[in-house]
Amino acid sequence: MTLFEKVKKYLRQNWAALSGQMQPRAATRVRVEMRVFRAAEGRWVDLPSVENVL
Amino acid sequence: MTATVVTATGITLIVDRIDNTSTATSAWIGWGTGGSSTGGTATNADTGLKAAATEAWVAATLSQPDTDSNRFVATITAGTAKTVEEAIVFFGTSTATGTATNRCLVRASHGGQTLATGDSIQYTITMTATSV
Repeated sequence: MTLFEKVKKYLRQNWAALSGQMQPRAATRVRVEMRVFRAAEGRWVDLPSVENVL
Repeated sequence: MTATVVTATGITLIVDRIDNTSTATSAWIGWGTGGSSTGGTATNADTGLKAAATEAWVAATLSQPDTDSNRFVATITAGTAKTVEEAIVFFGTSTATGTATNRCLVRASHGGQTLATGDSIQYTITMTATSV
């Protein structure tokens, strides 16, 4: 096997990793915080937050 | 069911903002009453509110509380009594939905909040990207 053929074989076998397909995936986290203003009472009330990680 | 997601449409928005394919810089927060109905739970396939309420969407105040985070804050006031169950963060040049330049970034089905006329909800929505 020539050096050129060895390089081709290496690239074929490792292309996924070399091209970044094996890189860690990023996670996106979204947090929704809420508070409600009760007009009749004239005050703010904190509500439970909602959060997901994808 | 409570859930909050970055939508698939929102991911396309992020990609397009990075290379300036999209130049939309105005973010809006809208609310609705469709969070608990059939199909109301937020999923990444969402492109808008399940059942938009009658109140106009409010321009969100944007900030970057950390280097990996974006924050959107807006307060919406109920014009009539209702139970609000969902909210979205929407990027675009107007509040029109479903166009190439108007896209839903985040949708939350946050549980029902019974509001009287004049009550408000202040939303603080923080999106954080993390390398894992």
